Amino acid sequence: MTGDRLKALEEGFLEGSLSEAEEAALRSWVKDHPEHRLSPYFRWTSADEAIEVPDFRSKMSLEEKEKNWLWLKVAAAILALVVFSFLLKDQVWEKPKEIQFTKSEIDESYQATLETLSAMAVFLDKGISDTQQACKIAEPFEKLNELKESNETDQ
Amino acid sequence: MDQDQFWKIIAPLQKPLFGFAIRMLADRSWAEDVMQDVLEKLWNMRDDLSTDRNPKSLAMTMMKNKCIDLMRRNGKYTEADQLPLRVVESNYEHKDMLEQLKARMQLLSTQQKLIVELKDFQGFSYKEIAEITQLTVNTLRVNLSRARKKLTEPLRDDWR
Repeated sequence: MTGDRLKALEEGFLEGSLSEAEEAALRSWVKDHPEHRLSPYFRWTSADEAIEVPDFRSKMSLEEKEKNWLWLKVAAAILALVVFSFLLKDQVWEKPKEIQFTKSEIDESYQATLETLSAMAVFLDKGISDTQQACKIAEPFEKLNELKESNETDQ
Repeated sequence: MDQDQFWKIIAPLQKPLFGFAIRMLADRSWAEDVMQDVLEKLWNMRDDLSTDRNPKSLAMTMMKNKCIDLMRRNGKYTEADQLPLRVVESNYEHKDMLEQLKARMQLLSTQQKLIVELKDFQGFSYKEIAEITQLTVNTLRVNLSRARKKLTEPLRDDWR
């Protein structure tokens, strides 16, 4: 390879403008001339064999993992079904009971309600009058009346 | 597709995929985790492997996405490289050059590192890299040129 051709290939490589054939030619030439300055770069980029790859096949049994995953999915589906049916059991299978009353029950209930209301009114009335007595709300008015009456008799 | 058929397709891809993960992530245990994730994903879509796409390109796309996700999550994704354009370094022994190149690779931006990895280590064409990275061929060329110049800077100083 001539000096000019080599220089052009080197520049083209650095610019990223070489075709695949040209780049292969440069790599091949440099491989035969290990003293060339790009030699470390080409050796480095083709050094995949130096990397030790773990045995992923024995490390991870993909089929077994997939089976486990499948069982897990089935178990989750069954669990979801059981929980779902338990939650909906009352609504699906047990219809709410209808409550029916006879006319006499309604009358009795109405009467009891009236009695309760009447008793409450009596209690309220008694409570209010007791409160009035306890607080002696009428006392000032009674004294005022007495004063007024005595004034009238004096006159 | 059974496990034997699957591993027959995957076996030749293990070394390039694992090498890619190690160089991108610079961490062996992360690379192993990512590799296992990618293998599981490939196993789950094993029927597509034997039919349509180029398995290496498909696997490398998955690996790239996984690596970039992990780098982003751990704050290792870099938008800009950390190498000055012009560095004068001399007196490198030949064997030290490899270590120097490895160290310089880690200082490139994630995108440049990715492109160097796919072009120079994995030997993909520009068209394939454009499909994997979703970048235009022109952007690829520009980034590859910058990355190669920065990586080989000490070599070029040495040869002047």
